Amino acid sequence: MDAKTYQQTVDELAPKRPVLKNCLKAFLTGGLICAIGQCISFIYMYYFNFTERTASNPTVATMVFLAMLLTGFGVYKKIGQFGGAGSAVPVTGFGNAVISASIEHKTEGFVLGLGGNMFKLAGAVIVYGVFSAFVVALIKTLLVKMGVISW
Amino acid sequence: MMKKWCLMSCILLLITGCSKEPKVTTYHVDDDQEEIETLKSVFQNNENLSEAAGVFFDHQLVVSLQVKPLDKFKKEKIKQSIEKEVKSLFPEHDVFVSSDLKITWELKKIIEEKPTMDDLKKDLDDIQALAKEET
Repeated sequence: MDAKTYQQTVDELAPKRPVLKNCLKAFLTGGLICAIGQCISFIYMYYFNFTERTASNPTVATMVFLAMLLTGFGVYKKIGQFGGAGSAVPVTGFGNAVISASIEHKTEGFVLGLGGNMFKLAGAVIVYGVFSAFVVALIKTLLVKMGVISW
Repeated sequence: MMKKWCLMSCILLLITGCSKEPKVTTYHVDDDQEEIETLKSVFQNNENLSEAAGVFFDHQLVVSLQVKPLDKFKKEKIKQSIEKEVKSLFPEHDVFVSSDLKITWELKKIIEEKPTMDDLKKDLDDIQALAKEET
């Protein structure tokens, strides 16, 4: 059996992935998370002195904190199993990645275990987030200096 | 039966969602109807707006706008064009325009309460400071 026929047999035998259903689930889960975030943002604007522009900072912090709590209680795992990418792509996925990695490595000690592995998954988000922010800011600064756009 | 209801509610929602005229609320300390009407005409001629509020106070004019959902992509441009128009119509006023939802809420609160001169000055100053807040 060569590689090609082997792959054919695998394709025939493996259960078909319900791509459309998974997409719909991810859409609904991600949408729900974003709707909750919008509600929290409105709460900050209504009850505190935050504007549309400034309310995003405490909203992100609250969403990450909630996701961290839910990860600790084991609820976020179930949401992730149902929603897939819909629960990983919003900022709540970041909180989940930090806490699940630290729970996993807790037994190895607080410094080398927890401290060293906490950002094993989320570190990539921070590195590329900071780097892309730097690149975008650089491009914008250049465009402003050249007089193409204004701040 | 159920399908019919769904269709009906969809149509109703669509119709109410696309109300042409923006909802305008204004407050003038000296109750100068002419100035209020001029300001209202600016908003009502603009089809990108869903809501607008304006408060006149002692050569000060604070305006807040809410643009329709699909026009939010060009929110800043709409704001600037209206700011220009209002400034040309009220050259003797110190005009302040914001498109922030929080500012709209605060202005509507002021318009409902109709505060006294001193309170109004403090409220308007607070609103302008809030709109300029970056952090």
